[in-house]
Amino acid sequence: MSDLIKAMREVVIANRILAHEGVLDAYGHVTVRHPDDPGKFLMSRSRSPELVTLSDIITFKLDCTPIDDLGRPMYAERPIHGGIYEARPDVMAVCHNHAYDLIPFGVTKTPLRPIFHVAGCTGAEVPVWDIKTKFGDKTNLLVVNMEQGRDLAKMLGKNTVCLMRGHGCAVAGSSIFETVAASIYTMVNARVLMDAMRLGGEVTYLSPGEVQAQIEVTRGPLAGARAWEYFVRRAGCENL
Amino acid sequence: MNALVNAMRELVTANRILAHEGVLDAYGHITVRHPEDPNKFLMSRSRSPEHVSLADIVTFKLDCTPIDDMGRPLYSERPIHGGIYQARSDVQSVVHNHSYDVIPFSVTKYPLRPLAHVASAIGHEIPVWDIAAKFGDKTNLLVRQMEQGRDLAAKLGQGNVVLMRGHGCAVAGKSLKGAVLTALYLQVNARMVLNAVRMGAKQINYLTKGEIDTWLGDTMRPNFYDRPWEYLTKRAGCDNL
Repeated sequence: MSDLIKAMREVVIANRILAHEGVLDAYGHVTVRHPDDPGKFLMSRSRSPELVTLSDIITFKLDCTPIDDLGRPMYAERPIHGGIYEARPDVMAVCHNHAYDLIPFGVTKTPLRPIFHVAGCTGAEVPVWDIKTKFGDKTNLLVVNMEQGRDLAKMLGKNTVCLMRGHGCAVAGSSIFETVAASIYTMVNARVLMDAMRLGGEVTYLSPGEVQAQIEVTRGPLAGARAWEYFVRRAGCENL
Repeated sequence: MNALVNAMRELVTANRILAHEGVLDAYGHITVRHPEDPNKFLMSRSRSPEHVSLADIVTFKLDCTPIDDMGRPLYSERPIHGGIYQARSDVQSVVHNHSYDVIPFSVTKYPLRPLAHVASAIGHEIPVWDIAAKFGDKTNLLVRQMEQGRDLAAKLGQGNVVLMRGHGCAVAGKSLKGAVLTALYLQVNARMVLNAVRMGAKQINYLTKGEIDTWLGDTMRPNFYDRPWEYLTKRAGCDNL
């Protein structure tokens, strides 16, 4: 299997996994950098992630111009992806989602920080980007031009996750697995953290050293292989 | 069917049940003491519990050295199990999980106590073990050394459940079925406490000490877990395994 076909297949699987786990619903998307050309990325045509198939995948330049769209409708928010790939050569996959459990953290001052080990892949800091700071209070909140995508990428900085006020988040990982895992476990962490806060009193978060050690676990071969097999089979993609 | 094959088969079913009920996800594991040699235990190779099958079961010594791994990848957190089997000769099965409903109680001071009879086996007091207390604040929180496993087992003491800060819990059972049911109802009970708190309860009417002890006594009756086991086995699609 060529690297390109393999990458296209992984984008399809990542779409289905994130839909199955409730991270993506009717909206949201996940992309990968082109394996043969870092100046391009692969993304589905405009379609809900659960329904994405191989023939939906389109190649884009990092400025989000399509190369082989064949007139198919495209997602408007491509600049979330293009902006991050431009700014971060280390990023190989990006997810944009509206997971319901993490949106509360984008509209309050309560920080979203990892409280259990698997969620360490969220990273120690999760910044919040507010589109109206630079683009005014009359947008539809969508990131539809490169200037907005670059501004979001700047707020993301070197982190893995950036919340988007009143909208959702962007997740940037060094591999498709890291992006998928961070998307899922950032959502789970938000749910667990909300429950812990409901219990009242002080919450113990992971220490910075523990977060760093967990990021290395996520990037290691053992946890990745086990969890990828699990998510692929749950999403019914083992024979895709 | 001989005792070993039967134990392996029940272990596969237990993995699938706990995955099906949402106690185990991509991670976590359940083990059982070897039925013919108390100095060994049975555990799957590194694989998500939902997908474990008979061919995945590996035998380990209590120090977590594999006997028949044949080069297959292994779970790194075996010492959770080995540490508890070493310390507790009465324990026949151990579950380690990251149940999302249970974790909040590991990162706050809010106690997790049984409020419904079916959860009595979680016990009177549930200790919280913090790996940072003895092993510093730069670990990945995983219990990968016997020294860590033994320290966790010491915190478990004579109880059935110990929470692990920022990580999950370990559940010890006098039988495989007991460990599965305790892990399941630990999660159910945690959800109920969270819901009671959500309702604004300032005080929760927990089970009394006597009620818990009575239930714990009942769990020792033979066939106590047969009804839920049949139910859970069928739900997990394992009745013809």
